[in-house]
Amino acid sequence: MILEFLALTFGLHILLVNLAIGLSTVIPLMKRAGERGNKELILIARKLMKFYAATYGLGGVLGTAFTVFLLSFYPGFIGLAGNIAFVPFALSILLICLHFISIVIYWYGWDKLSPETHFLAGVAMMTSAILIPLGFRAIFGFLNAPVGLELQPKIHLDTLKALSNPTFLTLYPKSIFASYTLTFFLLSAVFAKKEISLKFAKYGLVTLSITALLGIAYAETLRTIAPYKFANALGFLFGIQAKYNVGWLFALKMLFVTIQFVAIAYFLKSKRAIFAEIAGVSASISVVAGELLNAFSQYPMLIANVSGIPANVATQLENILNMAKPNPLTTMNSLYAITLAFLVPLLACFAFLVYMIAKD
Amino acid sequence: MNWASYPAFGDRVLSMIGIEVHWIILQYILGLPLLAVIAEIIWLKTRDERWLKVAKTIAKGFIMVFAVGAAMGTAAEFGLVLLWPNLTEIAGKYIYFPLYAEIFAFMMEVVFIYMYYYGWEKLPEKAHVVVGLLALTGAWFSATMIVSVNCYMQAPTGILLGSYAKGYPKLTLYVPSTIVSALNVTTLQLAGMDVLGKAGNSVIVAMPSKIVKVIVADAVAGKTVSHSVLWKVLTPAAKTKLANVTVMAILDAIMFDTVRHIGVYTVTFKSPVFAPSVLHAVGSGIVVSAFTVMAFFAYSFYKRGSEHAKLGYKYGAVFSLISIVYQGFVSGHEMGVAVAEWNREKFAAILHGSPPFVEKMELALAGVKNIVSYNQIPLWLRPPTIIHYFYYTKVTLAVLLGLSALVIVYMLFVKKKEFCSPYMLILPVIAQLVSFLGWAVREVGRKPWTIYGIMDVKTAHTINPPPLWVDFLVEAYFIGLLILLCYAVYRFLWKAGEVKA
Repeated sequence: MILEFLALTFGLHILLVNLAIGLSTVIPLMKRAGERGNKELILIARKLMKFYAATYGLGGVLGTAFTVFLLSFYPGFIGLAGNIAFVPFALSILLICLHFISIVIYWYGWDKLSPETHFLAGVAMMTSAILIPLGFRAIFGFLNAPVGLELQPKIHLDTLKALSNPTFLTLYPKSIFASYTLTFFLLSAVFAKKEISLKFAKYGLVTLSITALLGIAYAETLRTIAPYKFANALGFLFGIQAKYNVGWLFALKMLFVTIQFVAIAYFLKSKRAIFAEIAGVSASISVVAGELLNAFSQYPMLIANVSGIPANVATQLENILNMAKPNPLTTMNSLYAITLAFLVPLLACFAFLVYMIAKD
Repeated sequence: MNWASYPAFGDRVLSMIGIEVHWIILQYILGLPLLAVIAEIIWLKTRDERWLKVAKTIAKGFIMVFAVGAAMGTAAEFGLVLLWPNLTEIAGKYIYFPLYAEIFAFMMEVVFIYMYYYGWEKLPEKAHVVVGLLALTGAWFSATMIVSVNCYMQAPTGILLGSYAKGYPKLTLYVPSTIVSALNVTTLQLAGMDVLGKAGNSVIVAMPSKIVKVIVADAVAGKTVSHSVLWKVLTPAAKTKLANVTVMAILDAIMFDTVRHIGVYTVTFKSPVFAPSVLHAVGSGIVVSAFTVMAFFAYSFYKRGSEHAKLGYKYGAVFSLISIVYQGFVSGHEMGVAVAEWNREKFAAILHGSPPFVEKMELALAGVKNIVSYNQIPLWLRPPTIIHYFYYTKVTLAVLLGLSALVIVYMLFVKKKEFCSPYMLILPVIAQLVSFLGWAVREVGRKPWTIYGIMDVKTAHTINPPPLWVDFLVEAYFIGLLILLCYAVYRFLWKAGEVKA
């Protein structure tokens, strides 16, 4: 059940933060464009902001939930990460604080601040949203291959080297463009009966194409520096033996990427809402499938490639970096029952909140 | 002892500021929903629209600050991971459950606080009140979980106090018999360990903290048994067998066994200071919220003279008086008794330098006859004496707050005079200061320990601390965010004047 809980919280977190990155970009730009004489754009931007102001908190909570689950199930890993990864984590956390305060100012400052000041708050909201994943993606890059890990004079992370990790350099922009694709397709579906929907669909098509190219580049970097992970994720395509085959997740993702291309092409041609809706749902599924593929294709290892770490250190780290060896105090059925007893009704209540806001 | 002389001063100050900014904000999430829901219930009973306006104004206040409070909570959590990773690891391993359960509390807050705010006209009236109560439950549930972890850090379950000369404080541990057979029990007994009994396959021992803290330090440093203090107490046969085993593996075996015997889900709630700590922490949130509501509406009434502001002012005044009386005479008293009994070094440091009559009074209030004097405490166990000043400043300000509330209520309800002044805005600031000082006494007074009797500050600290200038920058950033939030509340709640819920 541990992997399922991690996957559930992480998957939902990713879905909401991808939407957050997209909305944080679209809303201020749309409102700014509307201020040049298009009141409908301002109205749409306000509706979107109301939705975002009411729901962004849960994306953050699920991120915290994921971290606390990791801490409970794999405390040694969090202890190690805390000891070496100050810069990337701190960067992301400080930006989260900035993002939350900018949401407060942007939402409650609507019609109360001058257009310029309000836009400035929007720029802070947009920039912080784009930059928050920078630190977290650097950590993900590190988990692919520990580039920048130095053992002398004591174990620490050379941040600049870590940022030159090729998997990070491709993963970060891919994540941002994937966020935009998801947001554009969902907005295209929500506003399918309005003219603006076509614009969203076209933007989404462009960002989807860029994401696909960056995805290929990311897979190539994995092939060279994290072959174990590559084999688990894509090995079935190249006849490479996988130890923990999650190729089905890759196939699922590719299926829904293809559906997005096809559905949005039909939508642009026929303007029938159902195709935009299919593209929106497919984008959500492919983003979640892609993230789960990325997170779990290195199973059972928390760091996919430890070949660069000296054997004596690797042996020491073996237990704390092994996902198959969780904290023994957490492997009780009663804990899973407690988790489900809370999670299920709370997620249902969240769905009701979203419905209540969306209905408005 | 000088507060700055304990290890990692820069990072301790950074943690203090980060957590305090979170605490300043989150106290409003502990108190304001209570005030809003009660106002709403009164509106339902009386149908007096002024009560609805009071409830909506209070709700707008907490919805605005909640987001930043939550973000600062995340920052505080990551601050713990990044600055005190070894503490985080130990907590995540042995006392993880309240942290785990806090996630559900946090989710409750996020869902129901927003549902409460956005659901005014969309939910049936009674359902809306229920949503408000669920939001409040989420906030108090969250506080209870976090405070329970802090209680374990103040007085871990199984801590035994006694004569320093006999090796106290000691920690009750359940040691698996496989490990006991590898130990030279006589050597350990000479070092102060007491065998208390047996429980299944475990031997219950009282292990001096002096030994526990070294074992924990060796474990987090990644030492193997042959390079640790354990080497001195192993039997010759065990030395050959365990030389290359990590100390962490031994510690894990003992602590897992101990926690299983005490209760995986209940270990932190069994801390002897748990109940008074939770009551006092939640009470603090209510006091700060009540004084803020009173001052906000009083100033609003002073400036605008509106009827709902007058009502809100009276409501806040009554709440302030009741909450500060509760906080001082009920939860504060219980907290004091618990500190005197379970944090005796801290209690001694609080009283250190007090005039004899004050000391006598404190002892009488805490119900103890004798205490250890500060100078009798071994050097390695002494907390910083600065908490003496924190404590008495706190008590003085709290008394002032209580008297202010009493005078205001007297003027409003007995003399029937709507006494108000812009100077009343200082009252919530004093309430925050009192709360901060109380928290500082608790946290600073725990030094030299991070987890009392188990882990010291140096062991908890990261092996890669940030430079001091980074600490300063981050502190300035947090304070800047708090100022920005205050400005946002002033600009969008106060200046907007009317609620547009």
